[in-house]
Parts: sequence; structure tokens; C-alpha cells
Amino acid sequence: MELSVDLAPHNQFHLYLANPVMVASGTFGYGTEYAGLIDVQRLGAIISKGTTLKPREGNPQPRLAETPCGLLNAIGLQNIGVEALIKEKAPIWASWRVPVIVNIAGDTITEYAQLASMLSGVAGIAGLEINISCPNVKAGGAEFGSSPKLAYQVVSAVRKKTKLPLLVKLTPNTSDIAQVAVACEEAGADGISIINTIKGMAIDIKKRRPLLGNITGGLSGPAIKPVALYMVYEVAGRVNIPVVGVGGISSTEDAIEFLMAGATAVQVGTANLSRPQAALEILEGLEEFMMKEGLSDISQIIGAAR
Amino acid sequence: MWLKISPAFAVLPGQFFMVKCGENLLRRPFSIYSSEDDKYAIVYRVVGQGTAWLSKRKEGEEINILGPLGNSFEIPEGECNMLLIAGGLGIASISFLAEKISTSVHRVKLLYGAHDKDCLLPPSFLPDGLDIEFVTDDGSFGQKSLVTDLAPPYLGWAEQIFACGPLAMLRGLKKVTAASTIPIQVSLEARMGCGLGVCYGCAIKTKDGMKLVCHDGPVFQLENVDLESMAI
Repeated sequence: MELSVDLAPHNQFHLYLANPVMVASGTFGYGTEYAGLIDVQRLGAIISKGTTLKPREGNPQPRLAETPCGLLNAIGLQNIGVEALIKEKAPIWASWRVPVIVNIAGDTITEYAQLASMLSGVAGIAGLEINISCPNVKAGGAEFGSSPKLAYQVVSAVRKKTKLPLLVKLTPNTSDIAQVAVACEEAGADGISIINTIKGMAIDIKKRRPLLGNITGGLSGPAIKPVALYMVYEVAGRVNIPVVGVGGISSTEDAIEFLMAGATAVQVGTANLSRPQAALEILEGLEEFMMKEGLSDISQIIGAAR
Repeated sequence: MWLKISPAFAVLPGQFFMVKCGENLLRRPFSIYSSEDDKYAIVYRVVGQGTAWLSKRKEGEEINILGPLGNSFEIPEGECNMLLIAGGLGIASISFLAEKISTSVHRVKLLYGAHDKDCLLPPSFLPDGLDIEFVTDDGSFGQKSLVTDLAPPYLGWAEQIFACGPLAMLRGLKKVTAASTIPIQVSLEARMGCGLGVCYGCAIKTKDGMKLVCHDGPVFQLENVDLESMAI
């Protein structure tokens, strides 16, 4: 059974995954945290925690609020910074066979470019996912992802600094996500990850205050799946590069829906928090599904509902 | 609630389980309150959907847990006077700790407070022979007082303090012990997403930088923790 996919078919280096089931940034740490618990090597790819130039402390507590079928988070990109990542994490990844893609976030276009050039050529890093969609930081973040023009500028600045396969993770908090995706493609992106969290909030009615320390947060989990699925369907029809489906994927059926909508691969996110083995179970379910349906190649599913 | 988990494994006071509570998206953290062979106990109070679901489980039903997680209280090796302070459900890990402290080697005093009588674990649920002083906020059991207000008379005696309770209690403890140099180990409560250090939901500021309650804790030295960076 052929499960492998290429997330960067137009890139000289390509980004081959053994299977299309990845884990989403911010829900799997640096991959090392779960390595003792599950066989992370069987994943299609791991997307690291969002990484910035300097270490970041993130947002004030509380950072999490569970909502019906969803999770609001306002972590605020707490991370160890790119230098520590290169020094401490990349050498571990270099010994793994699973590709690790580093999610990068900057306050300015220059910072994105700097991150790309620092991460370029580092052993253990298979690609970058440009995060222009974090709803929980003041500068940069989703600002860049809500305008096709700014998105173009970020992606082309990064493209100039690296030949690494580049995914761009987009925000649903924009009037036309497909236009932003097209701009990223024109700027040299190899693939598009859709979607980051949807901006939202919750209020503590006893305290009469917003529940999150950051006031607003990003909604993830099953609640956002139909929105993500629609956006993947929409964008996959508009770009000629792979689309990666992210948003509330918790079961094999969810993953298949995204693939059928046109995603070349999927990322499992919030489900990892309560079920570390969620992505591997989805992968096993996918194999079973293909067997039952008499399918021999994952490409027979990708875009099947279009 | 007692959980039978086979084969048996070792658990330490301060460690916790992440419990899947029905259809709720995130697991809920519960300190381990006791263990016996392949049976492990947690203590909970119904405060939300997760614990409401838990309260409806019947004997023999299976539930899904992850654990044991986190670090544990460190019991000094030599003879030592230990002051234990528990507030509300903080009693779970403190009671487990008391169970593990050899009273033939150490002298132990437990100060245990809760909002009211209904929120207190009755003495029969606490280790035998333990010297305990009870307080409640409303005076419905024991003295009417904050548990931390009972601490000062023991500060000359205690050589090690262990505490677990709500944030307000820890702030009170920090205040009453400000002039003391007794080492204080606290087990922190936090909103957790994963319990395994991947989501960064339970991060706090410490003297050694940002730490995760689930992964680097839940037990910390009180003097290292910036309590202002915490919220529940």
C-alpha cells in the first residue's frame, strides 16, 4: 500500500513523507516529549512548537479554556528560541527518520527571513512552516496572514534565504483565505497549511472578566473542523501546490474527509493533548480504510470528493 | 475514587493522573491521594463537567487515565520536623505524603483547612496517628481561620514545610513565612491541557525561568515560584 506523499513537489529537495499524518505545531512540543510514550518515528512528519528569534515567555495565565467541542488557547508562542532549538533539538531530530518541520514566527518580515537563514542547512530540519497566523501575539502573527500583500512579502523574504521546503500556515480570520494562499504560492511557498486557530474568547461570569489572561484566544478542536474542511476545499481548488489540512482532526474519518477535500496530508492537533497516540491511531485507521475500500495508493483518496 | 490498574506501578506523593472525563476534550489532572497494591486513589469535588461525569461512574466501570505524571515531594533523609499544610483538595497529595513519611524517624504536624465542613476530608480518611489541626473558613469544623494563619507558631519548630492548596493559600503561606528560611516544597495546581509538557498551557514564571507545572513540577520550591504569574 502506497501511503507516501510529497509536500514540496516543485522544490528540488522535495519533502517526502512516509504517510500523510503529521502532528500540528504547538500540540506536540518538540517531538521529544512524546518520544518515550509513542513511536513518533511512524508519523508522517512532526511540526515543532512555533519558534521565534529570541526565547519567549508567552502570555499570562490562564492560557487555556475548554469550550463545547473545542479548546481556546492563548499560549502566546512561548518557546526556547531558535538558537536553543538548533543546539538542543535539531541534533536529536537528525537521528530520527521522521521529518521534522520547524514552525517559525516573527514580529517583522526581517525576523522571518533571519529565522529562515539560521535554520537553513541545519541537520535534522526537513522544512519550515511559516506561521503568519498566530492569533495570540501582538506584533506580526496573524496580521501578516490576513493580507495577500503582506503574506507575499513574508514568504518571498523567507524564500530568498532558504531552499528548504516551505509550508505557510494560514489564518481563517481573513475575508478571503484563497487569495492569501495564491499570494503565498506566487511568493514561492511549496505548500499551504490550513487552518490555524479561529480567534475567540470566553468569559468567567462569576468574576465578570474574560477567562483568558490574553482576553482573546484561538479556538481549536472538533468545533472548527467543518470550517477548516471548507477552507481546504476552497483553497485546494485555487492553488497548484499541496494543501495540508489542519483543524479539529480527531478521527480517521476526519482525516479522510480532509484528504478527499483535496489535502495532500493532514495535521492532528488538539487531539494529541488528550490522546498522545491519536495521530498513530488515525494512521492505522487510514490503512484499514484503504484496505477495506480496495485502494492501493493514497492518491486515490486525495481530492476524491472534488 | 479508587482505581484498580494492573499491573501495579510505583507512585510518589505529588504525582498526578490525567483522567479522561467522558466526552470532554481535555483530560483533568488529579493528585494521587493513596495507593495500595494495584489500587490508586484520587480525591475530587464536583466543580465542572469533568468531575460531574466522574461522579456518575459506577463501581467496575473502566476509565481512561494517563500517569503517573510529574515529579514528587522530596522527603529529607535525616530526622526532621515536618510541617504539612493542606488547603481544600490539596489534601490529596499532602495526605499521600504523610502516609509515606516514617513517623518513627520524623515528627509531622498537619494543618488542614477548607472552606467548610463539607469540603474537608474526615479524619478517618487521613493517615492514622497523624497530628492534625483542622480549620475552616466558616468555622463549621475546627477553628474559624485561614490555614496559613496557624503556621506561625510552628515556624520555630519546622525544618521542612510541604504545602498544597489553592493559589490564595500559597500567597498567604509566602507572606507568613517571608521572614523564615525553612525550605518549603509546594505542589501547584494549574489548568493543564496535556499533562505531558507539550501544550505549554500550565507555564509559570520561576527564578529559573519559565517552567511547566505538569512537566517540571507539580512540586516546586515556594521561594522559586512567581505566584503572581499564576492563575487558576
